[in-house]
Amino acid sequence: MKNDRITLSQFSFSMFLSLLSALMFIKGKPSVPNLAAAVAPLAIDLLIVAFYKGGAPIAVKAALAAYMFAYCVLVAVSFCRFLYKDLGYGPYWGLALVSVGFAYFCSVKGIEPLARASVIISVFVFAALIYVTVLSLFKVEPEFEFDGFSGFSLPFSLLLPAAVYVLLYDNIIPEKKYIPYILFGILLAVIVFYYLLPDDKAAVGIFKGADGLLSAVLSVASAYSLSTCAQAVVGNTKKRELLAAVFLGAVFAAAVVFLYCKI
Amino acid sequence: MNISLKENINTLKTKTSGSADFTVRELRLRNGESVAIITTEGMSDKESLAISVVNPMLGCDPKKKRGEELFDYLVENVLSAGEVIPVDTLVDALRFSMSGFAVLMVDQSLRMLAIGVQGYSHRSVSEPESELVQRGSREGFTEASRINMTLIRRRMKTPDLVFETMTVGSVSKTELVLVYLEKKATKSSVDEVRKRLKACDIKTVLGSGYLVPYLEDSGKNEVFTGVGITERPDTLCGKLTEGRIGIIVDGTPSVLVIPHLFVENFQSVDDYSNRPYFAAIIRILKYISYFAAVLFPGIYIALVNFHPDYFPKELLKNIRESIDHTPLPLILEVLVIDFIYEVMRESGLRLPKVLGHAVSIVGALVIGDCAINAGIIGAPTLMSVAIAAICSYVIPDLYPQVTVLRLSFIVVGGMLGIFGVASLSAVVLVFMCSKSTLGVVYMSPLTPFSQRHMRDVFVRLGWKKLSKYEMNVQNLKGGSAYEK
Repeated sequence: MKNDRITLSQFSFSMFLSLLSALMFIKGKPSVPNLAAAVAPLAIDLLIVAFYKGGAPIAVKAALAAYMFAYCVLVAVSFCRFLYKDLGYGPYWGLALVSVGFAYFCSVKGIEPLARASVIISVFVFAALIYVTVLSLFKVEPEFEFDGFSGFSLPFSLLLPAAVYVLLYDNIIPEKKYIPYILFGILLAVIVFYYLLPDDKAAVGIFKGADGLLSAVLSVASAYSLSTCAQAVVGNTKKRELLAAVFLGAVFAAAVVFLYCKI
Repeated sequence: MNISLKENINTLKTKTSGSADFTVRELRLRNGESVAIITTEGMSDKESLAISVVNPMLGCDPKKKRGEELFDYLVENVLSAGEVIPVDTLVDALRFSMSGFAVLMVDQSLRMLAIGVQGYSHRSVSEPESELVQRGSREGFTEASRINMTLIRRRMKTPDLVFETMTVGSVSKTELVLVYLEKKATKSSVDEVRKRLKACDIKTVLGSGYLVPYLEDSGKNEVFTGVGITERPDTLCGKLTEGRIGIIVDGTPSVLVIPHLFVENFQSVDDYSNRPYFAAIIRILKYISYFAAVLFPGIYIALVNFHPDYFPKELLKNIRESIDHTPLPLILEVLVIDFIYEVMRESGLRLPKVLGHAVSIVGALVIGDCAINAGIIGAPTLMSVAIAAICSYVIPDLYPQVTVLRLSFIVVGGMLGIFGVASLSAVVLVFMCSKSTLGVVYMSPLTPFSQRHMRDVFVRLGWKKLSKYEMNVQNLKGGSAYEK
C-alpha cells in the first residue's frame, strides 16, 4: 500500500465530485420522505466519523468497503443506463470501459494524485455550474431528462464521505483552516436543496440543462467517484476484508437492483 | 602504470589503437632525462602548450634530478600553466588528454600531471533560436561547457554558486557540470541528482536529452517531463535562485534544469521585463492556447459527430454542407489533415530555410486551398486543425506533449464524443498530478495549492511585491521528499 497523504481540503473536493456524480442518478419530487432521506444520512455520516475515526474494527471497515463497492457498481450501471437510455448515446459501452479503465488507473496511481486532481476538476465543475446557471437564467430549456435509481442513490451518495473518511483516516492531514469546509458544507446544502426542488427553473437548469457540457463534466465526476471508492477500498483494506467487502457489496448491489426492478 | 616512460607510452598507444589524433611529444631535458607530453590533436592550444610547458622545460636545468624528484622540480619551478591536476592512472591520463589537457609523464616516476591548455574550436556565443526574447540578453549557451560556466558566473557573482564536474557514458566519457546555489538547493536534492547521474549506465551521451529518463522520479519515459531544458543563461540563473539544479552537458547548448514544474512552460524571460499587466495577459493567452491546441480538434469532432445541436443553426448548416461534400468520415479527415500538417512542419524544420519557405507555400496553397476546392477536405475541419496548430506554437516547450495529446483527443472525441474527451481529460490530469521530480509535485503550486506561490503563475505581480518573498521550489507543498 502506498503511503499517500492528502489534505482535508483535497478530501473535501474529492467528496464533492463523488456526491455530484451520485446526484445525477437521482429522481424525485419534493416531499417529506425525500427530505428525511437527505437529512438522515448526513446525521449518520457524523455518527460514523465520530465513532470510528481512525480506529474502526475490521468488521466495520469491511462493511464500509462493501457499501462502497456496491456504490461503485450502481454508479457504473446507472452511468451506462443514463448514456444509453436517457441520452440515446451510441458508444456507451466504450465509455463504460473508459470509466472502469480510469478507475483502475487511478487506483494504481494512488489516492494522492487523485486528490490533487480533484481540486482542478472541481474548479472546472464550478465553472460549468456557473455557466449552466447563467444559461438557465436566460431560459435555455434542457433537452434531456435524468432518470436513475430513484431515492436509492441518495443514501449511497450522502453516506459516502463518512465511509471514505473512516477508511482513509490515516492518510488525511488535518488542516487548521475551517472556512473552506464551512463553505463546502453550505454548497452541499444548496445542491441538496436544489435537488429537492426539481420544478424550480434554476435548479432544473443546473442539474438537467446544458446537455453537452454539464453531462460531460458529470461523466468525469462519475468516473472520479468510482476511482475514489476503488482506491479507498483497494488501497486501505487488507486482503481478507477486501474479499468480504466484495462479496457483501455484490449482494448489496444485487439487492438494490432487484428492488429497483420490482418497483 | 609502469615506472618506465617507454612502457607507459606503448600502453597508451595500444589503448588508443594507434589513433591518428593521439599525440606524444617526447623531450630530452638538459640533464638527459626523458619526459613526454601527451595531447590529443585539435583539443589543445598549441601556443599555450609551447609557452607554458614545452619552452620552460627545454630551457630549465634540473641538474641531477630524476624520477619523482624531477617531477616535483618541474611542477614547482618550471611549468607556468595556471591549471595543473595530479593524475594517477593511465585511464585518467587518456581522459584528460581527450578533454584538451596536456599530460606530463616523467621517466622513472609513477605520477602524472594534467596541464590545462585546452584550446579546441567551438561555436561563439550567439542568440538561441528556440528561446527568442524581445527585451533581454542575446546570449545563449554554446556547446563548450566551460564557456557556459563563464556565462553563468558572469551573472551570478556569488560564492554560493557551485560548479561540480563529473563524467557519464562509459564510452563517450561526456563531461557534466552540476550547477546550483548552495544556500538555495537542499543538500539532499543535490545528493540525489548526483546519485542518479552516477547510476546512469548509458554508454554514449551525445545530448542532454539522453539523461532525462535517468533524472525523473519514475525513471520512465512519460508524456510530461519533470526535467526542464533551457538555452539561456539568464533563464538558468533565475531557476537557480529558486533552488533548482542545472546540469550542463558538454557538447550541447541545452542545459537541463531540475525540478521542472508544469507552470514553468508558460513563463518566459520577457514576462519579467514587461509590465505586469501585459505579462498577465500573455500568460493567460498561453494557457488558453494550450487548451485550444490540445482540445480544439477533439471537441470539434465530438460535437459534430455526437452533439450537433450544440452549434448555432447557421454554423451547423455550413459544417454539415462541408461534411456532406467530402468523401472521408470526419475522424479520418481530421487525422489526415493533422498528419499532413505534422509532415509539413517536420520537413520545414529539417530543410534549409530557403526550402522551408517553399514547403510552407506548397502546404498553404497547393494542399490547403486546392484540397478544399477539390472537395477532399472541408474548410471548417481544416480550420479547426489550423487553429490548434497555431496555438501550439505559443507554448513551444510543450509541443511534443501537445501533439500526442491532440491526436489522442481526436481519436477519443471521434469515437466516444464529448464524454470521451472529458474522461480522457481527467485521466491526463490525474497522470499529471501523480508526477513529481525530486519530490516536488509537477502540478504545484496549482495542486497542491499554494497561494503564496501563485503570484507568478497566471499573473505576475510587480517586482516590488514579487521580491518581498523569495520563491524556493523546495518550499512548495508536497515538495519535501528529499529535503530531510
